[in-house]
Amino acid sequence: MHEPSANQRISATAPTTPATAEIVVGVPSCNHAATVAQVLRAAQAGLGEFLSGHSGLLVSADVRSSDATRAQVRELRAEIPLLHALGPADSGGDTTSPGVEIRELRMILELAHQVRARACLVLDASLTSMGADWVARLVRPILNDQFDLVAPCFARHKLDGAISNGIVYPLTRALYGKRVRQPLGSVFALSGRLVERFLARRVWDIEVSALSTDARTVSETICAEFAVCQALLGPAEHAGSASSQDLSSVLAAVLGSVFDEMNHNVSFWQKVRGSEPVRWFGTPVEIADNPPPVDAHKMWESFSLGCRTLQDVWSAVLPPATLLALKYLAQDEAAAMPDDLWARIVYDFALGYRLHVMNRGHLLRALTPLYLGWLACFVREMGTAHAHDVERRVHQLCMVYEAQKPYLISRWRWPDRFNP
Amino acid sequence: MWDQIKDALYGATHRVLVGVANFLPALLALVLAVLLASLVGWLLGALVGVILRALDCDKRLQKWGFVVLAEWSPKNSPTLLLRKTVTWTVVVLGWLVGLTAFGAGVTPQLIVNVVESLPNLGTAIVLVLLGVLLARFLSRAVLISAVNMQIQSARLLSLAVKWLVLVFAAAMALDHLHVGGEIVRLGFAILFGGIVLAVALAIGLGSKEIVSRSWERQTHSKDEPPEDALKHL
Repeated sequence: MHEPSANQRISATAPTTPATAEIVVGVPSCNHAATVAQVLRAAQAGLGEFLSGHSGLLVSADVRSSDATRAQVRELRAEIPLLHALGPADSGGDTTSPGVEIRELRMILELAHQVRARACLVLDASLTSMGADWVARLVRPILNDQFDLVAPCFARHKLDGAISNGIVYPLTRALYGKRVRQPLGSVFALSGRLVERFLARRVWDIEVSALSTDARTVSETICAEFAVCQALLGPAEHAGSASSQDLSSVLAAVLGSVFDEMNHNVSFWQKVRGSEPVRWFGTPVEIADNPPPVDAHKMWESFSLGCRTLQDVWSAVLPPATLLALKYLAQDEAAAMPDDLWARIVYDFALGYRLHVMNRGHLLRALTPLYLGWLACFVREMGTAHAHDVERRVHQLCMVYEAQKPYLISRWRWPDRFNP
Repeated sequence: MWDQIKDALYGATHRVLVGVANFLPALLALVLAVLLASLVGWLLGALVGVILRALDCDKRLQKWGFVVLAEWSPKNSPTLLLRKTVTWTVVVLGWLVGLTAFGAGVTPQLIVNVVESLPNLGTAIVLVLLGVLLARFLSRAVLISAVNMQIQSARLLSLAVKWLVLVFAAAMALDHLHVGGEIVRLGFAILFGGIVLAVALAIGLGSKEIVSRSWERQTHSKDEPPEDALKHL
């Protein structure tokens, strides 16, 4: 059945849609009753306090919630006149079809296009730490400096975001040549012309996971050569979500989305060499430097167990030289995993994913012990270091990823030549 | 007397010649059938070989988990094995056709038996192949999950699951072929029960650590920091 457009939906729920609005702030939600009101209030405050000179429209998009999320939004409409709710008028919602985030996102973008918005900010309904100033920080680079995508850069502890530090950031930086520090930031602001392009190119017409939304936004923007920048924000605290899942599921979801984008943009990233900085906006937000308790020994044990038992699985992905290096590495807990070895492992898994050497879920989950091995080395090395030193160390790792990119390209083009 | 000897000689010679005359066409038919079957078999084998090589059959089978098939194959190539199987099947059929030319009553019956058992044999082969695929998939899933849960006996668990599925598939295939009868069922029940017991013990022993860790976490006071507070994403 054809899905109703934003125009059709809004006519049922918000008859007073303005003809134009400079800024659209959209909050896609699905069963976020506990946090959606907080996010919408912060967005409303942000529009009122920091962007009062611009016409704004606050949009809540919800198609599938089965809890009180939509009731909360309806109640808020009395409090926030700017708020428009997109979604079915009844309370049931469509809980059967897949693609929770994408459908809501598409509705927000269609509305932004309809009101000819100059900037469209998409927020995460599970955020519990959002400040009112975030709206301005994310939108101003589009309004004042003609950027097309503003990616967030949340303040976080030096060892937090290890998947991003060790895999996602170095990989996207090496692939696309732009140093977007947190490519899976869960909030982003788009310019009107980027919204138009996304809708025209039907970028969101395929159903993907929420994590893929972020990965696709960044990669599509860079590949289309639109201007990207970053906004420094405070720490991001989410209710529930990934922290409640086990590590291998999170890793599989994240890498699956990044590798999918990699397969999708081959012709672009094979031509990119090196990387260039991406402009920052805002001032860094300092957070307390009390290190979280991390048991590097336990991580190393997982790696060691993986080396003893997963050789057969890894041998379908990794070349013999890498397997041998891992075998030697597992024998000495004090040893550090060389950056080039780690970069090649990630590249090999990306290639294995592309070639479908085994079930993709198995493949991505088989990386978990290797990731824990890398993380154990990273924690041991950086546990007592200052946050700036950690940042330098991540930059060093990124440089190695970039240096190893010819290896990826060679394997990608001629997989049989290198195959184990 | 001489005439009688002459008649006997003529008679014997006549019978031998008649026998040879009767036998020769059948022999020639056999030779012709075998030669023709060899030629057709070789051509069909070559065709199968070309198609399988084009489909990259060896690598695909290895990827799908049919490592045993490669080990049993000449030069570790299942393509070669399948090619030779096709060739020799046609040659054997040629022999059967050739032997039928002798008019022996046994041969047509043999052909009928062979043809009748082919569907059952095919089903049994499919069952075994599906079993191998499923065993490979499940054992790998269990192995990876168990390692990620830090269960030390991950490999044992994985092996148990693999053999459980393989034994189940083999028993189904044998039952389908009506081979062994009750002995197979009895043997399967004993083996299956044994493997289930081994799995139960392995899970019990392997998850001991997880249960104790979980119990420790629950009994810790709420003031204590969590074991690993790192945010990975």
